[in-house]
Amino acid sequence: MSRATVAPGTSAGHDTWTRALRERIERTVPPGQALPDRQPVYVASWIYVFGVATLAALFVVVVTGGLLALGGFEWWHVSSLGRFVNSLHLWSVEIFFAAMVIHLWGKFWMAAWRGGRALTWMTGVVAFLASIGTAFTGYLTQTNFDSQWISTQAKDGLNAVGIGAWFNVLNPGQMLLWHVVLLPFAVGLIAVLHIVLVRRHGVVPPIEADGED
Amino acid sequence: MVGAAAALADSGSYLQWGWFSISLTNLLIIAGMVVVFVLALLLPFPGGGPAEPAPVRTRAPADPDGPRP
Ligand code: HEM
Repeated sequence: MSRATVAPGTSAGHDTWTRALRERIERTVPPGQALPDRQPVYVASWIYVFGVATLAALFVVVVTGGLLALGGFEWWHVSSLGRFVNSLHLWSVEIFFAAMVIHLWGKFWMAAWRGGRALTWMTGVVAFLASIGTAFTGYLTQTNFDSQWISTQAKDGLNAVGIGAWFNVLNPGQMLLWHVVLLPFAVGLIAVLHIVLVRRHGVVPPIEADGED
Repeated sequence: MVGAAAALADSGSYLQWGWFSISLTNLLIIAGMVVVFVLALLLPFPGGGPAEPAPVRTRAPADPDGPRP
């Protein structure tokens, strides 16, 4: 019997990448745990709100950033609506970082990397670093005297630590594309991985309730 | 409050201890974040009601592929 005539679901092995990928996706998060509506009692605390607050702020950052991209820099410098959207973008970034750092403190003091959750922690670390890069290139994208000053200061600093040849913070085109394409894509992707990992492992039990570590 | 607002408007205020220096604005923001962190730990979470014993699940039930990375 040729492979093409095998009925769906009857083939034994991972003989196509489509099937292997489907099974991989199905196994990634345990059944019913992708969007659970019940959580253990210890999750009823404000400290567990900061992860999703970070996510909500990131959503506002991306939407307002998209609006700024539609309008262009004359719009966000001159028109009152553009300036308002620019402020929404800035202040949602401020909330994003404050929420992320409080989230980080919470996870640090509850040692939330216990029980096979090291990758969750590490994707958080990468999300933090990628977010810092996105914010810094955002300062270079303001198109004002502030961004000129910051870029020249940053150029000296980056040259001094020996990474000045890899990219040029004095190149506004490069920094604009990093800020609006490359780095937001990286932050978004790593945030998705981070949250899939949280759903895969479930919320870590408090240290005193955790018998297995 | 007005004093704090005036201090924030004046971006030139810096505090210095030896080699360590920080702007007053940044110090106040960090202090505010610490306050929010402590409140998040202390304030009761609304809507919980009497603690119902929810199932504590930290692993996939009966995972044939062994532990997940
Ligand atoms: C883009 C930034 C981030 C987003 C959107 C995000 C989002 C989330 C969400 C929604 C949760 C589950 C709810 C919760 O426990 O709060 C979570 C859990 C977690 N986060 Fe983050 N996070 C981010 C950054 C970070 C950073 C910087 C760290 C630490 C370096 C971190 C470490 C963790 C850990 C270890 C858990 C798992 C906790 C557990 O299993 O109980 N996250 N994150």
